[in-house]
Amino acid sequence: MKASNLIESQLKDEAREITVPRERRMFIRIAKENLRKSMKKLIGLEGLTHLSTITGVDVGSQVELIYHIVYEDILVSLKVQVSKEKPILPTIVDLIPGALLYEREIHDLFGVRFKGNPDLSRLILPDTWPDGVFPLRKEWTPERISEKIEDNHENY
Amino acid sequence: MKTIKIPFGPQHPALEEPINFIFEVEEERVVNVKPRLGYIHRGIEKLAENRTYHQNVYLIERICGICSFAHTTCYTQAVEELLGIDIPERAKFIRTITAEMERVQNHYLWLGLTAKETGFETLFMYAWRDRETILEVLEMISGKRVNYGMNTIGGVRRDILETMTEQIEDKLSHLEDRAQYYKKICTKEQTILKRTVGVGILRPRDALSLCAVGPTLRASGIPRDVRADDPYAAYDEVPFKVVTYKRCDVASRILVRIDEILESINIIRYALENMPKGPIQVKVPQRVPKGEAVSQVEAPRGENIHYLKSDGSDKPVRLKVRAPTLANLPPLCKMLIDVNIADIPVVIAGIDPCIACAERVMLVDTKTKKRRIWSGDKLWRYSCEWYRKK
Amino acid sequence: MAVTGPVTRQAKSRLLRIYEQMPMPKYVIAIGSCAISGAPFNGSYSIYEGVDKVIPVDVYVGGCPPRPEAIINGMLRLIKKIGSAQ
Repeated sequence: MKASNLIESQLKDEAREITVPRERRMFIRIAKENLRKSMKKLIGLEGLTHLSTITGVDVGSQVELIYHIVYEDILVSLKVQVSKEKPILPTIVDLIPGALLYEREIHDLFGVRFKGNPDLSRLILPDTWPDGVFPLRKEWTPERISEKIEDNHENY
Repeated sequence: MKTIKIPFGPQHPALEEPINFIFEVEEERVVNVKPRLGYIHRGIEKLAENRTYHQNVYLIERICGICSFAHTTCYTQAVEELLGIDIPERAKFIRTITAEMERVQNHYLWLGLTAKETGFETLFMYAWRDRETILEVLEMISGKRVNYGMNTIGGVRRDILETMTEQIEDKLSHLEDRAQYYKKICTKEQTILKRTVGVGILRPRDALSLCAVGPTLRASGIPRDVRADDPYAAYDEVPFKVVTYKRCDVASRILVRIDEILESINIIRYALENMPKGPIQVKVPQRVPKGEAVSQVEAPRGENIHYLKSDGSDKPVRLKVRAPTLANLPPLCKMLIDVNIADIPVVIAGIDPCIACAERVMLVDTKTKKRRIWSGDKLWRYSCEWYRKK
Repeated sequence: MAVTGPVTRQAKSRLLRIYEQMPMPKYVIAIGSCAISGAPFNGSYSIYEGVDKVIPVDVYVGGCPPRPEAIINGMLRLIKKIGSAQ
C-alpha cells in the first residue's frame, strides 16, 4: 500500500496536528520526544525515496525543525520544536546517514545540538566566526551580527 | 601514522564554489573523506527575509549561475502555491523549454570538465564549443547566456516567438548530432573508459541511504526524477524517459547525462510544437497570504528543494534552499573511499558539483604522517601522469 | 589576478594571502558586480562589499554576469594600463 495512505494511521499516536495544503503534500507536527520513533516508522514505509533536507525556522522562543521526507507519491514534512534555551534533539544519522550535513548546517545556523551525531563541526560558517552567533535566529539581525564580528576584530 | 596534505583545486570561471576536503590516505588509496564548505557562503537565506517576494526572484537567480533557472522556478512555484494561483499554460511550457535548455547547457559544460579531468583536453574543447550553440539559443529567447531573468511570480517575462522556432530547431539538430557523437566516444574511446569504468562506485543501497539525487542517483540504477515523480510546469503533459544506467560508476554518470541531453532535446521539440497560445503571466499581489509551501524541481544536478513560509506581509518569514550538490556530498565521500589519489578529480567531477573549483584537499597519510601541499593543477597533472604510466 | 564573485569572510584571508604572494608588478581585475560591490548579496553577514574592500583593484568589469565581450574589453584595458605604467 502506498505511503500516502498509510502515514496517518502509522503516526496516529505521535501526530499532534496534520495539515494537507494540497495533493502530494502533508505537514505533521509531533513532540520532540517522538522524533526517532516517528522517523523509524516513516522510513519503513513503501515507496520511500529519501530525506530531502532538514529546515530550521525561528518561531520565537522555539526553533522549529522540519524534516522533509520524499516518497514516490507524497512529500511529508515532519515538524518538531525545541526551545532556544535548550536546543537539543536526538540525531537521526544512524537511521538516515544522508542527514549528516543537514544536521551540521542547522547546528551552524541555529545552534541546535544533535545528541549522538559524531561530527557537528563547522560546515558553512567561517572558521573565525564567533561562538553563540546563530545567523538564522531572528534576534541576530545583520546589524547585531556585524557589531559582534567587529568585536572579534582580532580574529581577522 | 603519517599524514599527507594535498590541496585540490582546478579553478574555472564558470564554476562557483571552492570547497575543502580532508582525505586520509594509505599509500595511494583514500580511506576517509571529510568536506568543509563555507568559501562561497553568502547568507542568502537571511538576505531573503529582508527583501520582498519579487526582489527575491533576482536574488535566488544568483544562487548558481548554471542552474539559475531551476532555482527561480522552484521559488516562484512556492510563492504561486501560497498565492493560490495557477500560471497560464503557455508559461508552463516556456518554463519547461527553458529548464531543458538549461539542462542541455549544464550537461555540455559538465561533459567538457569531466573530459578535462580524464586528460582528454580535445573533448573538453569540443564540448565547450558545442555548448556555445545552446547558449546562443538561450540568448535569443532571454537576452542572456546565464541568469536568464525569464521567471517571475505568476509566469514568465518573455515569450518564445514563432519566428524563433526554425532557428532553434536547427541548433537543436546540431546539438543532437554532437551528443550522439560524444556518446559513441564515451562508450568506445579507451582514454575515457580506462579512467571512468569501475571508478567511483556508489551502490544503489548507499545511494539511497545517503540521499543522493539527480544523475548521480540515476547512474546507480535508481529511477527517481522530480519531473516524473512530482510533475511541475508542463512535465505532466510532455512525454519523456527517466534515464538510468546500472553500473554505478563515473562511466554510467557520463552516459546518464548524455542520454539526458538527447531526452531534453526531444522535450524541447515536443513542447515547442504543442505549446498552447495565450498569456505568459498573470498579475499577482505584493502580499502573500499566511502559509507554508515546499517546492521541488529537477535541476540539472538533481533534486532542488525550497521551503517557503509566509505571514501575510510582502516579505517571506523564511526561505530555505537545499541545492542538489549538498545532497550529493555524502555520497561523494562514500564513493571516494578506496579510490586512487589519481582518480579523485574524476570522481569529484562525476557528481557535477556546483563547488568544483575545489580550493583545498588535504590528504592525510595514515602510515607516513607526512603532509604535502599540492595545487589543484599539480594533482591534475599527477593523475594524468599516473595513468600514462599504468 | 582576476577575482570573480563576492568575497566571503571565509575566503578573505586566502585572497589576501594570494595577493601578498604575487610578485611585483601586480594587478587585480574585479570581474562581475559581486566582485565590484557585493551586488545582490549586499548586507549579508558573510560577505565583504567588493574586492576593493580587501585589496586594491585596477580594472572593474561590470555585469551580472559580464558578457564575454566585456571581460575581453576589461583585459584589454588592463593591458593598456600595464603598458602605460611601463
